[in-house]
Amino acid sequence: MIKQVLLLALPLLAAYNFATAQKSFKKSLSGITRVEIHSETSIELSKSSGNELVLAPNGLSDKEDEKASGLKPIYPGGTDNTGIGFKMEQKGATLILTDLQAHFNRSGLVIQLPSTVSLMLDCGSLGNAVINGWTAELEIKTNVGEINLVNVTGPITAHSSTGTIKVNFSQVNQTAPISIASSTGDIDVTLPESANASVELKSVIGGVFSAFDLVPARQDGLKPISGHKSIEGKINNGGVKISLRASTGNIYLRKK
Amino acid sequence: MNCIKTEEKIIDYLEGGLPDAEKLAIAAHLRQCPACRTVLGQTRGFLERTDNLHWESPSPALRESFERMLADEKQQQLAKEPVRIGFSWKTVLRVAAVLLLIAGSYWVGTYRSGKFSDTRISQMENQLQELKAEMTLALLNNPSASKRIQAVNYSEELQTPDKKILQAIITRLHSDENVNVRMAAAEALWKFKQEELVKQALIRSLEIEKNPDVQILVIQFLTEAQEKRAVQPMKKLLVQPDLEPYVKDQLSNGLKRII
Repeated sequence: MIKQVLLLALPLLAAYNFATAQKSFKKSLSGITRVEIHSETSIELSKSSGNELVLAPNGLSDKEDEKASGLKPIYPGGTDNTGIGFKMEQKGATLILTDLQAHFNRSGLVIQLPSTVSLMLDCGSLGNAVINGWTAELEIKTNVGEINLVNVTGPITAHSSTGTIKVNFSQVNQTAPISIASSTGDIDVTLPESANASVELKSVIGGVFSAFDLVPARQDGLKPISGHKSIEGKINNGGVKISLRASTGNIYLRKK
Repeated sequence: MNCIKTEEKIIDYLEGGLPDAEKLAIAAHLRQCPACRTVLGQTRGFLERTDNLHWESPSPALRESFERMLADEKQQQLAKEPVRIGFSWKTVLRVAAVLLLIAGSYWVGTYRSGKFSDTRISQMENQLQELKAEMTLALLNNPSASKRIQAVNYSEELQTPDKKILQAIITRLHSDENVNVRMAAAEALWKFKQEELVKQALIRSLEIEKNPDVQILVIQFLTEAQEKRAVQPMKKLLVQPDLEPYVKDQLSNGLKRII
């Protein structure tokens, strides 16, 4: 229900953003190979074609406070050197952006990033994320928030404590393993029919549902029962390892 | 000198091959004995005739008849040949012996070359193992979580990882910031559960781990290993106030199963 309301609200939100012409932060990524973003808000990230990071707060509560004019906001987490309440630091080829504002003071972030860097997204304890079209390496973690990855390729390392993780692969990158785990949330993964992968599915208490035939039929005609053991199988003769685990949630492996 | 001795030496006497004394004695006997003179005359005549004899050479007819005979014999042999092949056990045995020899040398050859290629394959396997060990160590500290998981997965393919690699994976299990990496590390270590080092590391993980997913994995492994040393830490964890209920279930279930 909340989701539907949010979906309905999204266009309105976008329109509002456009109207208020939010300020955004831009940063060239030359010499950067990895970007880390720590924020507790709702993140919408999409791939950009340039070589620039664009980070824009999603308006509503980011209104200018007239009473604060002439004053500089200060935060316990560090100094705002981006103008949008983020602390930016560079360690070698890694760019680290840390949100200085509390969850309640933000109503989301829209990020655009080129797929030439690997991305680490830490959504803290309340944040969630929607990532669209990302084709480079992705590491993402949330606590209660949902993770929704659309048209991604991996390598992916995703973990959520209670959030559902939905991943829709456009293709499967074979260079490094894919690991998706949620403690109490569901895991819902869609793979292209022709993808090469060696999958390992394990839910401690929940069920495992798959559109791919992963468990070979027993010769004696009995139904295979795996109990606590993980289900391992090869899709299209196998490929990169995809590990999906849930503790109490269900695992859904879909075909498209 | 008597008649017998004279006759014995008559040829030598005629040919002049006798010592003078014997010659004189024979001559004296010959003068007295007319019988021996007759023998002398006959022998002389025989010797003269043999001296005059010329070597007889075989006529062309003889040669012709010999060759005809040979040809006939050959024909007969050829006519007999097919019969022989079909029924001679000797031939069968000979062929069998040859085949056995060929097969034997082939077997010896393949066995030896097999041994050679076996050693070559095992050498290559060793190199591959070393390579995987190096890759594991190099990737275990990579900033990318996917790469660290890859490294941990590599180690699962090692037949006997050395202490250095086990220790490096244990470090991932105990202190990697990424939950997925810690879970992958626990699973990789489980492959080497017979190592004392690994058992201790899993028990230690139970004491320090805060994430329920890793906790459940470790509890499952220690339960399956019937590790009695894990009972105390498990009981301790069971009374933690902020413990997830499903971890609690795993713990009490595990405690029942470790006998």
